[in-house]
Amino acid sequence: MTRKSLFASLRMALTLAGLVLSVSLTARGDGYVIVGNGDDGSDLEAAIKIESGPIPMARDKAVTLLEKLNVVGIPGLGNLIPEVQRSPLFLAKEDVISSLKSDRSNFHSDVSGKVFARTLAQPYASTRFFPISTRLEESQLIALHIHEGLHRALPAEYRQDENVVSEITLAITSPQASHDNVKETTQKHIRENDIRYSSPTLGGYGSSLPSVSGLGRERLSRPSSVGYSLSQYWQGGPATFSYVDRLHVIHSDLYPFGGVDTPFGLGLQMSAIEGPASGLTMGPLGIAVRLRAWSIRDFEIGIFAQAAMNLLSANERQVTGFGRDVFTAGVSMRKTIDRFYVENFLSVTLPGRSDYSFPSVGRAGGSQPLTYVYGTAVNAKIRTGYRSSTLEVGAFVDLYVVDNFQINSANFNKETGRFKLASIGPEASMRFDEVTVSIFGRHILSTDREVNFDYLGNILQTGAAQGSVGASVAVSF
Amino acid sequence: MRILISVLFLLGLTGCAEFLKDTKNPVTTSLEFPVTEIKLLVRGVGNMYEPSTYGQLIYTINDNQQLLLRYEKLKEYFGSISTDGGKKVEFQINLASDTTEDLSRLQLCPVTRNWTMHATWQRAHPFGADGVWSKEGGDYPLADCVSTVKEGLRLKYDMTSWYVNFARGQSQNLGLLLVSPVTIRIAGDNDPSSAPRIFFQKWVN
Repeated sequence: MTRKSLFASLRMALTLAGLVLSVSLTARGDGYVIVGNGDDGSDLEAAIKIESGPIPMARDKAVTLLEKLNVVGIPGLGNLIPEVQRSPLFLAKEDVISSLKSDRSNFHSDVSGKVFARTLAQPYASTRFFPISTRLEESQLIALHIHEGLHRALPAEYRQDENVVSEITLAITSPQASHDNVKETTQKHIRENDIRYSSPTLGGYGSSLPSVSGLGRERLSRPSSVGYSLSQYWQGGPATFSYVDRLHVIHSDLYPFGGVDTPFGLGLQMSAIEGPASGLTMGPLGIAVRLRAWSIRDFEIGIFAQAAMNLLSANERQVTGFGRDVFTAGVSMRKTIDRFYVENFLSVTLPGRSDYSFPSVGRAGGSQPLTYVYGTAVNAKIRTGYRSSTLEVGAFVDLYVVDNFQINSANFNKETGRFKLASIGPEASMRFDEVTVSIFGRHILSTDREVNFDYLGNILQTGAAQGSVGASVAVSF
Repeated sequence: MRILISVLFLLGLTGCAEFLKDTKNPVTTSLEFPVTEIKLLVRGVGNMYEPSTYGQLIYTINDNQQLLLRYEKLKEYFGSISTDGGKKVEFQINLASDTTEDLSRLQLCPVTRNWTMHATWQRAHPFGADGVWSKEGGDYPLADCVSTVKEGLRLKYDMTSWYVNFARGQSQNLGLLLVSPVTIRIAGDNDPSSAPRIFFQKWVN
């Protein structure tokens, strides 16, 4: 660090310390203050939208700073980045003299009483800057953006408390700021039980089944989603028998039950299987029940049960081998550490069976169906990766241990015995407001007995053949 | 008491009659069925669902194309098929069009590796490493192949020896493979009236 930048940092720190001290003294005398537009007429003057210039540039740097500090992972600050990022900015034509209690904070007005900026202490409210704010330095504008954002992002009980907002602002904008410092300052004021989370999570559809990771803390106030996913499978070898090319899934996950921190809901998945032999046929109907059970020491613990029901009637020939009912239940644990997340799954899938008929055998008789008998499967999965407020990039390792797999027909009987199947794959998600776009893949890492995903018979969860690539788009609400 | 003795006597006579009928005068009936599993193996085609390899009106057999055949329910008749007194287990295949080719080498051979309708030139089935033919195009002992007897467009194969030694003898119906060094065209399974068929005699009593 150069001497010049050191002095600049010290000057900034002293300025902010002075601001906070005066705010604290002011607020201590009056209790908490109200932030927002007054009814004194001072806000009725015209304002123009700010599209460019130092104020939006400072906002971008504020967002960068917040991402660097990973405030998403701090209880109570999950909404801060979207609030800073998305608040419409306006510039008033004339300065106003502070007349509201809220304006008495040094983050809101200068020593002469002119107001820098105002916002309404509600989510998604706009921020109105006054001409005097254009004289502020960039670092001060950054602090101002964060300060106003905190007024909108903090839990309702705290967002109007100038003491709390000012201290957290200082913790974030301090030259020595770190994730732990900000977290400590925030936790000093905000009780865990008062936190309401509201930004949508990412990467919920890394597989074609709704992920329990979707119950992560950032998504708790908007846990429901609807979307579409497409998976493309590759045969990759002669020993696959499903011969499925693609899987289309339309999903809808609704969480009407449970508390804010423990949503409980139902997910439905309508699927269609596409293959060279089968054409486009109805796939399984996925039904998933998920509950974010509890949170302890930043661990998110969820439980889930999933069923994939065969929708084909007795008259319809099962030409894919995936006409089985699949029942799975398990637990998930997720921990977010700064910019990284780790998520573990452990689940059990019950045994099942499906009858398969070779497609379109000649009219002379037709072949007898093969019966696939699937054994009990135990699954352990680890997801990990990097995350920011809008991006999540990671990978997973997935291990299945299956009791047995049998093929039975009038003249052909075979079984694999106990086998294991390990797979690996990348996952990436990008969020655009309420819309999340994901891409994902899966490939066999290790196996024995020449098995592949066809032997699991669970196309909604693990896919088919030798592996897959896919993409999904989902809207959270 | 007399009534009881009379009843027992009548029952005894009936039992003897049944015994005599079974041993001295056995009755058989002729049965014929279309072959239910037919799969064309084509050199160079690894797609098990290649549409031209099943459910066709006509199959072309030659050096690069061989035909798997199996009547799946044959196992149900293992205990009741008669091969006594010259009774045969016979397969009949119809030519799609007459030919002047020498058909003596158009042979029907016992298959020695189990297969499914997924079979291709390289694989008997997709379920594991043992699904690969040891010899591309299908595993069969050449010495046990049977040549045809041609009657018009109809090709007849006496597969009694195959039934006795391979199917019933090993209690496993692995089916047959039609091989030919010359190109012929045969009627396929998409026309029930001319599809390949199996004929045998079954005990009635």
